[in-house]
This record gives sequence, structure tokens and C-alpha cells, in this order.
Amino acid sequence: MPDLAAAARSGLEPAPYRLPLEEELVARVAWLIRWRWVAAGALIGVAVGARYVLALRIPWLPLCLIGAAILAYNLLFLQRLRTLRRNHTASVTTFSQFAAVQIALDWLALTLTVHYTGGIESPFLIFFIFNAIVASILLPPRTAYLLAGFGVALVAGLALLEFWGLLVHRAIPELHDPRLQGPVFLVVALGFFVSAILFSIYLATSIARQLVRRTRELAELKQNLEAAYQKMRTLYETSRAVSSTLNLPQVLATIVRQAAQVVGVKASSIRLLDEEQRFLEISAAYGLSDAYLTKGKVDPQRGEMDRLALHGKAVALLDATIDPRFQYPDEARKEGIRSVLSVPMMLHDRAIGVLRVYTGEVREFTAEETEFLLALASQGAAAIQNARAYRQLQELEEAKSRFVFAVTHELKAPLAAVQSQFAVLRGGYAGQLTEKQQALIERAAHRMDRLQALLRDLLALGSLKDRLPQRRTTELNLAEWVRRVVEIVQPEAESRGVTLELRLPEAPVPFRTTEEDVHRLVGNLLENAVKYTPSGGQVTVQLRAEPSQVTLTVSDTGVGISPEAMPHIFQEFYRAANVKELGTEGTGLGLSLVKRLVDLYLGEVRVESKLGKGTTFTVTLPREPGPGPEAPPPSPRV
Amino acid sequence: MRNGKHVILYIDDDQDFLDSVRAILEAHGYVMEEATSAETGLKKFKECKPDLLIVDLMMEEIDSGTHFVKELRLLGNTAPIYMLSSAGDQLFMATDYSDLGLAGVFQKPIQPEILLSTLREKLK
Repeated sequence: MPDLAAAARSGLEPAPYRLPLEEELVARVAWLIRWRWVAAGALIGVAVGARYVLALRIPWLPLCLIGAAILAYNLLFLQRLRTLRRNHTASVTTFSQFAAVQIALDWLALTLTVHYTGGIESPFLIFFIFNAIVASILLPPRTAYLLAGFGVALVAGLALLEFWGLLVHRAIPELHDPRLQGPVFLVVALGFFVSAILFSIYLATSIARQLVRRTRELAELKQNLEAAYQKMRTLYETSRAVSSTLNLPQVLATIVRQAAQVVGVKASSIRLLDEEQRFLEISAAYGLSDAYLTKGKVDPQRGEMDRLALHGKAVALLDATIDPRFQYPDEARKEGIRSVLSVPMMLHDRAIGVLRVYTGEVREFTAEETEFLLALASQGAAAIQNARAYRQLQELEEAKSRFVFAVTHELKAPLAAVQSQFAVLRGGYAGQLTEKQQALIERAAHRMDRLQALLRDLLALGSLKDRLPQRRTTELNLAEWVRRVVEIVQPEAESRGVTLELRLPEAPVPFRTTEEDVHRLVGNLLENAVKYTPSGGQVTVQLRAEPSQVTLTVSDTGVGISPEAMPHIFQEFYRAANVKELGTEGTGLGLSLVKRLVDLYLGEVRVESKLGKGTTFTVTLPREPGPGPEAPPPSPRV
Repeated sequence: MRNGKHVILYIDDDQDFLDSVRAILEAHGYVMEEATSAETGLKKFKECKPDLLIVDLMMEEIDSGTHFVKELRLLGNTAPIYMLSSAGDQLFMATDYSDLGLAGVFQKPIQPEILLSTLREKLK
């Protein structure tokens, strides 16, 4: 029977209930039965044909009866075969026995045929060889020889009985040579017959044995190949998973699961060195109970197995419950762990942790398995490095944002103070001003207004990056708030001779956001459009609501954006060449703010523009359910 | 009122703002009393009984302005109170000023026209 345990161990699906060799046996038995129909028919045909066509004087009736008998027992064989096939637990032995019975009956039938066609002179004698070869192929060598012995005995017995006159010697007159009589002929004929049979069997069984061996080797090779392929597939998929996600816990969980399943063990775990590089702490586990996981830190000083592993060696323990190199033998026994293999997770020639697999029964690990686990472990190390690097990057980014924010904040108060003082001066509250003084103060005040606008935008940008905890979104009617922003910009547009057109849906557009965000997003786009459209031009604002998203379009008939400037327009402080010429003022942060907001809301912004013709900004924002602008991103814990 | 002029009490820890507002208010016939902290503000409040108060949102501590306003409420103040805040004060956005009983908010930097027109309206 196939080794299901081995199949399960290799992590593959259990093999079909018959090995290929056994399938062969079943097929051959069926084939034998099929050919027997032909043989029986041929016998009858030959008998009749020889008698009536060739006019040989042979006893055609007995021969036909033998043929009929063959047909009859073949029918029984067919029934038996059908029964055996339906019964899935029929073993190789059953089929072998079945084949042997068939061949034995065939020998009998053939002997009878030989008797009626001339005994030792029968031309049918040669068909025994055919049967002998079939026996050698289907049956183990010993059985084949036994059957051969049976057949030879039948023939020899027949020949002797005929020679002694106990059986009638029915020679076919037309084929009979009277000179071929006597004991010498008998001995010679029998001798040749027996040696032919024996030699055929010998040849056939050797070839068959070779065949069997080769087939077995091939089957084993195939299994090994499949196991190796499975391991490669696992490594490939793990490396893909590692490079496609920064979710470290997920990656490590995948690795421990693959390790356990491919090697076919009960459990596995990843332990990483803590920050002091002193203890090994659990980072991922598969198939282990909570009780075992919380047993305590693994101290490489006390557990020699891990100390060795951390020095870059793979260490296997046959029985962790009694091996002094394992730190927690009692816990291992309680968990049902016996053999353990530890491989180091190497990063830049230094071990950062270990990958362990645990079995439920004592077993050795092969070199292939160890190599596979080493490869898996190094993928884990790579994933950890990625996650750590990314985390560092994030922290740097956050530190930078916080700094910029803090600095900008500090600048606000003094600037406001100076502006207030200038307001006093400008208003004449500190006394009458000369024209020159007035002009200078105006210009200074204007520069400070610009500075204030810059600080305001910088702070806005900083607050969006940093996701300060104070973002409180509410459900508001987006259409209404877009309208309000347009109303605020209206006077400015009018003074520049630019017409504002607003297209809003009739029904309210519920959307989760803050008034500030709407104001900033729509306001910046609108102010840009108005600023960069010459007098007589038009700016159109349109809001479209769909079940899954809202779309805001701001298009103008202004100066447009050149193809060279396009890739940069959302960069901080970038101002395209053509607007610098216009002399219009801007902080250079407006579109950065827009982009930042769009990203925050997980939306998209598209720009289409033609120099001298106009520009259209299209912003699409999804409506629920995403994480929303309030939740900070989950960061991998390493 | 004092000598027929309205008394405005302005509390802010930044002297430059105090001086700028004083120049504006006094040029338009208001009397201004000042204080540089919530503590001295309360003292001044009890002394001069202002007709209107202007309070900076952020003095030494975050939100000290709102605390101060609550204290005034407890003292039974009936004069209108205006808050001063820098544009983009995130924390201010979180406060609901109808809750505090404020009459309104002014932005920093000071815009004299807005300040004066509001005072004219309120103190008729």
C-alpha cells in the first residue's frame, strides 16, 4: 500500500491509493481478459477453419468446446475484475493471485488443446511460451516459475501418458511424421520445450525486474522533485510577499507557517534579539500554545542551542526534552515537542534572530530541509531590515515635519505683532504720515502680508503631514460649502474682471470632512484659477456627486501650464516660469496643500492644460469607507 | 463707563499688541485698561468694571484665555467678551465659542477697521 504517512510528511497531497506499478497490474489483468476473448474465438475459428477449409482431420468439436469453456471462464473472470475494481481496498496480492489463477486455467485449456492437436507434436505447444512470458510480467519471479513448473508438468504428464498409451495420441494426420516417434523424440522434444519455457521465463523476469526497479526509482525521483519544487515555490512566494508589503507581522507569520508546512512539522517560531542584543524574544509563531510562548525569554547564555545558532550555525536537537542545550526542557515536554531545529536569521553576516521548527516525534532533519529553512530565515531577515529602514525613514520624516511646524509656529507671533504695529502706523494712529512714509509703510505692510500667507500655508501643510490629533470631521453638505468658498472668492474675481460660474447638484452632497479642508482645497484651486486668468476670462467650478465618489472640477481660461512645468506643479514652492513673468504673487504652496489634502482623503487629482488656453483641475474623492483622514497609519512593530 | 467714555479691558501677554491696540482705541475716544496675565486680568476686572473685554486666547499657557473667560462668567460678568486668536490656531478650532458665551473673535494681526466697527456696533 502506498506510504500515506510519508506523503503527508512531505506536505504533498496523499498519493492515489495505487502506485503506478499497481495500476499497471490492474491494466494488464484487464488486458489479459480482453485478449482471452480473441484467443478463444481464434481457437474456435482455427478449429472450424482447419477442418472445413484446410480439410485437416482434426477433432474440431472438442476444440470448439474448449474454446467455449474458455469463453465461459473468461466471463467469470470479467465479473470478478469488475467486483475487484469497485472495491477500492483490493490489494496487489489479490490481483496477483487473480492473475495466477487465470494463467493456471489457461495452461489447462492449452494442455487440453495440445492433447487434441497431437500432444508433443502439436503446433499449439509454442503458445505455452506466450503464457510463460505473460506470467513473468504479471507475477513475481517465484510465482512465475511455479506456474511454469505446473505448466511443464501438465505437458510432460500429457506426453508421457500418451507415450505409455494411457491417453489416446491424437496426431493430426496431415501434420504427422511417423518417423518422429519413440522415446528419443519424446525426450528431445520435451527437453527443448522445457528449456524454452524456462529460458523465456528467466529472460522475461529479469527484464520485468529491471523495469520494476526503474519504475520505482522514477517514482521516488518524481516525489523528490515535487518536494524540491514545492520548496522553491514557497521561497519564491515568500520573497514576493516580503517585497510587496511592509506589514512585518504579516510577513513573519507567513514565514513561520511556510516553514512548518513545507518541512512538515508541528510548529515553528521566529525569535529576534531584543534591543540590548541580549535575549531572544518571540516575534512570530505557528502551532504553539500561548502557555509555551509566554514561558519566558530565551537566554542564549543559558540555551546553548541558540547561542550556537546566533553564531551562524544551524543546530538540530534530536530530543529537546532531554538535551541540555535546550533551555526549557519541561515546557517542551508539556507542549509535546521532541526534535527542534534552529537556524540563524542572518543580516550582513550578523545573526539578528533564529527561526525554529519543532516536531512532535523524534526525527532527524535532512540537509535539504536545513538549507530550505536557512533560505527562508534570510528572507525573514531581509523583511525585517526593510521594515526597520522604512520605520527609520518615517521617523525622520516626522521629526522633520515637527521641526518645520514648530519653527513656523514661533514665527507667527512676532509677525502678528509687527503687523499690528504697522496697522497702527498706517491708520495714522501714531500721528500724521508724510506721503513718502505712507508709501514705504504700505510696501512693508504688504511684504508682511505675503509672509503671513506663507506661514499660514506652511502651517497648514505641516498640520496635514503630521496628522495632529485635533482633526475632527463631520458630515456636511459639500455643495453648500463649495458655494461658500466661491462666494468668498467672488469679490476678488470681480475686481479682476473674471467671471465665476458655479455648477452644483440640486440635492445635498453629504461628505465627511472639515470646513477648513473644504476651504483650503477648493479655495486654493479657485484662487489659482482666478489669479492666472486675465481679465475677461472665465472660471468654472463644478461639483458632481456619485454613489462612490465626488468629483470637483475647476477650469479656467487662463495662461495655462507648460508641459515642462507639469511634473512639478505640486512641488512645494514651485512656481512655473510663465506665472513668474506675470508678476502675480503666490506662496508656491497652494497646490502642495491641495495635493496633500487629496492624498489625505485617498483621492486623485488630474490636471489638463494648454498654454494660453486654460487649465482644468479634476479632483475625485472617494466617499467612505476608507480609513479616513483621522486615523494614523499602522506602523510595523519591529 | 468713565468720564463718558467706554472702558475696554484688554488682556494679552504681548506688550506690542497692547500698545498697538491702545493707540487705536485711544485715538477713537475709548479708555483702555490692560493686563498681561489671567491673574492680573481678574484683578483689573474687579477694579475697573469694563464695558467690554478683549482677551488673547493663548497667554503663557495653551487655552489660558478660555479658562479666563469661564472665570469671568463665574464672577457674574455681563460685559461682552471678544477673543483674540492667530489664524490657524488649531486648538481654537476645537473650542465652541458659543459655549463660552463670547460675543465674537478677532484675528491677529489686528485690523483696526474691523476692531473699531465691531466696538461701535456693540457699544451703542
